[in-house]
Amino acid sequence: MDNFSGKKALCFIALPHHNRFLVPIMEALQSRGMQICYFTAAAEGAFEITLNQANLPYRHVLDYADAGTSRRAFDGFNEVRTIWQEKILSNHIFQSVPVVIQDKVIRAAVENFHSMDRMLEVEKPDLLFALHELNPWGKMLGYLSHVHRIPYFTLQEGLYYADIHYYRFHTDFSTACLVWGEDCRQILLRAGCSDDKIYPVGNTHIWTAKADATSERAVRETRAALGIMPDKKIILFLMSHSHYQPFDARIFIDWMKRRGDVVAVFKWHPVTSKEIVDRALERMPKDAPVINAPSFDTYRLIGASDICITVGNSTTGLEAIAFGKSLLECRLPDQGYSFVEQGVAEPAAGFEDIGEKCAAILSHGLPEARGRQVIKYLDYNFAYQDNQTMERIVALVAESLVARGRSDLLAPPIEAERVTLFPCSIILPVDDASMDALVATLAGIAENTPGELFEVVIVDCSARPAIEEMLSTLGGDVNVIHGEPDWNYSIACNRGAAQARGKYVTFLKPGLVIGNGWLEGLLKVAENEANAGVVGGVTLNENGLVWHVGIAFDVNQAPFSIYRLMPRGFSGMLKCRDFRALETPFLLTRELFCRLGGFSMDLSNRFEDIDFCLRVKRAGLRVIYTPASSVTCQEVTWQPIMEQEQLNRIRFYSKWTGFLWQDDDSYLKEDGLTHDALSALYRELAGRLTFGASQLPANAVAADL
Amino acid sequence: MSKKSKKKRGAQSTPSTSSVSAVNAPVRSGNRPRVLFAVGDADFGYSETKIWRLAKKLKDQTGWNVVAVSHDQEALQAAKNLQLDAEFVAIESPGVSVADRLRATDEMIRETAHVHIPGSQLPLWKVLAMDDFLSSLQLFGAQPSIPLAADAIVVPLMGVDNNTRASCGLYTWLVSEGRRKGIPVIGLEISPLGNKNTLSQLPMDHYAVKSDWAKQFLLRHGVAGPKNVSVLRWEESYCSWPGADDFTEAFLEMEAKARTMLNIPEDRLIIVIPHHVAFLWEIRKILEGLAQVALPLSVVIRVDSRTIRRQFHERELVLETYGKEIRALPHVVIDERVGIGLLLQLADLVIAPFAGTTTERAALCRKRCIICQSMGEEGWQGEFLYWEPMPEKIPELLRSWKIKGWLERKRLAGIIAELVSSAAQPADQMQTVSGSYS
Repeated sequence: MDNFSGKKALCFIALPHHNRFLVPIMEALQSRGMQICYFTAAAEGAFEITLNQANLPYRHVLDYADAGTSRRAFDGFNEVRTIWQEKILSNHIFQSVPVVIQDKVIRAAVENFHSMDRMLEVEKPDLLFALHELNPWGKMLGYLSHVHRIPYFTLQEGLYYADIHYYRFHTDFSTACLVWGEDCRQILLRAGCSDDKIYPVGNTHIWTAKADATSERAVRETRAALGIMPDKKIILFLMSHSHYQPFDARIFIDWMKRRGDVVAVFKWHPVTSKEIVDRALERMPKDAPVINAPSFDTYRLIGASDICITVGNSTTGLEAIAFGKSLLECRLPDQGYSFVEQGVAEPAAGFEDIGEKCAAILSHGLPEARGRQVIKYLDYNFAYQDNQTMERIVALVAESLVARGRSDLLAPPIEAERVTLFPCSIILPVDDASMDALVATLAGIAENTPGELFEVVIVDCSARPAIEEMLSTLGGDVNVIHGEPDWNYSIACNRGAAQARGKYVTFLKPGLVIGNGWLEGLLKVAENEANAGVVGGVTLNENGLVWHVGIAFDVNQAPFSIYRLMPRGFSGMLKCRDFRALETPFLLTRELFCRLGGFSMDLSNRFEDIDFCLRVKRAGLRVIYTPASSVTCQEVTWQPIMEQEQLNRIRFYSKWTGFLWQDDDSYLKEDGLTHDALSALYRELAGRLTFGASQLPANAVAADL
Repeated sequence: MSKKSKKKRGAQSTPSTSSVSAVNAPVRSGNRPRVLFAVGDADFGYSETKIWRLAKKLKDQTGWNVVAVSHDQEALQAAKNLQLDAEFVAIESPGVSVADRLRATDEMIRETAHVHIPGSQLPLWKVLAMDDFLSSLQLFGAQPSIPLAADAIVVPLMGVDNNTRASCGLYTWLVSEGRRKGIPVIGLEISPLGNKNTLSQLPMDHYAVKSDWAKQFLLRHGVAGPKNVSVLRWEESYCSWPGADDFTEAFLEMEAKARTMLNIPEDRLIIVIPHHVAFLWEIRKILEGLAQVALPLSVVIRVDSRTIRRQFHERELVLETYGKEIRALPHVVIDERVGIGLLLQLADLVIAPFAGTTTERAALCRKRCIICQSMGEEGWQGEFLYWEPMPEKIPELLRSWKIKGWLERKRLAGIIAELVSSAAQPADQMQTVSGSYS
């Protein structure tokens, strides 16, 4: 694929499990011609070992630091130090973390930040990869990816079993967060991550690992390496990280000895210290059929095992299930997520009943219902259970590279009509919308707009003959262009603009019903405001609540319609003001629309309006919202299909990396609000709606504030 | 005693309720200021236990109520062995639940919402909150709830290389509470300064450090201003030094006696001149130069009772040769009784006409030293020894060293006295306030 040659990706590696996810992707990209550079950063956990053990050539972020970096780190740290010390001395919460730890991590953060910044200046990569953006390095890299306008890919690092709040900040800066399946997506969404950034692509390696580790040969080799005879059953304990006290496993060991055909193998979470492992096993009798295998390959162990037992939370439980193994679960006191509660594991209290539970499974297998639940569970956790995940990722990366490449290119202008006969051309592309929606829109235009102000350019992309028939009956200044059903909204609008003859153009969709004075309101602002580029008004939904007044960018650097579902008359919608982007319908000069090349045709029914506004802003013109013009959305049309949706997202966010900085705070501040206050307001409104009080007085909320 | 072993033992210590009440004792019993002297397990180990001797010295010099404070029972026992009052302050976290972690992290985020990594718009909490902060709440709920009453607090400066979580908790609590109550806090360098991690050097009213380099370090990094850093006298720095030295040990025992013998008040700048009959011109010129230095000097000319030239013992020879120059100086002692090792410890500066035991030893004791030998060497030899062949340049040299603060070495007692004195009015008010707690 030509998209990759001459391109460079930087990949941050920290702990060994990062390799498992990231290295296969890097190898796949490298095999397609991309240059891969691994790097790491200073940490007491000695990330260098991970790279050395994997024999990966790498650079350290400090390798890039020069005198300027050093100066910035020095000044920056001193600046933060003063502020932070005040916090420490005035708030007990800050005293809860030993000051020397805060000292080390803040100094390291400032140093790493400036070193990474320098690294990106020097290396000029096209893409960045890190396992996730929750740790300091991942977060700083994410921020800097926006500063340097480099798309940033992150991944799901395991089964997400911790408290939901831990996952809050996984998509702040990621262009794409690649997850295994719907389960993870839902967790991230509940935590407040951006749906736009999440891509369920399946697991990169689990199915290959399963095939490898469960092959007859692999099982034979694993048993040989562990010294376990073929006639013995293997019970594999998958130990989560915890501060274990010495195990009292006498009952279990007696059971094993009585049977004589069972061996227990202990595999520990990689961060568990040797001290903890030794302490946990110190009371195990020397003659017990127990093998401690802390550094043995986990997949090999699972593959060779007959029963797996998770002790505490661990991704290995999910992996054991994916390998088709029977799973027992010993739940630890502070354990939130439970395989038993998911219906995919048998519960065990501890060593006292594990033997008995294992005996039942070894004799009778698992109940049939459990098997059905396992299938559902795996479907929910893995969007795909095949070996094609790498191809899906490579395809996304390719799209990202192409989109980034286009970010600085000017689209070719649209060749437009030379004559100007009307103040405005209302361009109305028609898809397979309902007839009612189309009629409502046309009626709205006819009833609420002075005839001398406009022509209507209809681009008929519907495959339904009834629509064509109805359009043929229209009279007046209506120009119907015959489009194709596979045209997206951008193509249709661009074609419409090419034949428009108004000084201004505006874009509608079937289902949008304009209010009285809508066009006049937009034209007034466009004519009178200096440097006006795009002008849009308020869009209400069918219940009269705010649907759109402007686009703000949230903490995930993602666009959203601010104040959506607020009541009409809410103070935030009453101000004429600038935004960075608006959704359609909006109005602008035909000359500007055509000069900028119209809507991006690779964005299919999503983001084309925001993308266009961002281009208008880059051209130095204003994007203005006016409350003097309103339209009601009675039906949503021109919706993207699922396949297009992923492409839209990766193209939009890759193209605009570095331009989508969060700004919702500034609008809230301007309106005398905070995030907390707005949330409280939404809760209050939801309460009122529950009690049937949706018909609020126009100024109710504004007054309440 | 190794640092490692100290930490382990410290972790096993248990609270002593009987001692807690004394932390809350009224300040100033009569005219005796109450000074809390905190030492954690790691600093106790780092100084090879000597640090309590500084507290003891402080008590002996001033008669103040100096109270040893620690979270570590073994360290406290060592303080008690030196007849210091000792207070145990328990620094133990009751543990932290998932909900606690999230609440604490949320508060941290709200408190620092507008703190960015300088040079960027990236909030620092985004980097710290969900990883380092959330997972490092080792001292959650470990802050003592007991009230604190003192006229001054001495707290070691934390070093990233040498602190346990409990000592961090103790020191931070003391600085925080001291600040809150307007009690002067003195930061004491034990673990050496110099690491780039300076957030641990919390804001103090004054910093007492071991060397000029450490002082300059604090100034360079903007931790302290020139007026609130002092370099301690060597024998006091020695108490926080990780080694043993026989000469200094002897001095710690003999200082008072030596001062009495020499009749030198404590506020004098002491210049020791080891005499040598082969360099009479140089010494005469040195004395002549010293007379031009406007400092409260005591000059000690060290002579050997066994040295005789013509009919003169060396002592007489000095008087006869430099009579005019000696009379021009405010205070001169010609000594042949106090050993040179002890004299060196007393000295603020050594000026010698020759290189020998005295000058080499002076550098080891971190005393500035000038060797003035006509037509001899010129320039620095190491950090403390300067060769100057022209004695007429000595006054200017001393003036420049004075400006650099190289001739100023303070006693901890002096630092505390100044702070307590300048905070006298608030301290009196404090007395009333803290009295109500007890």
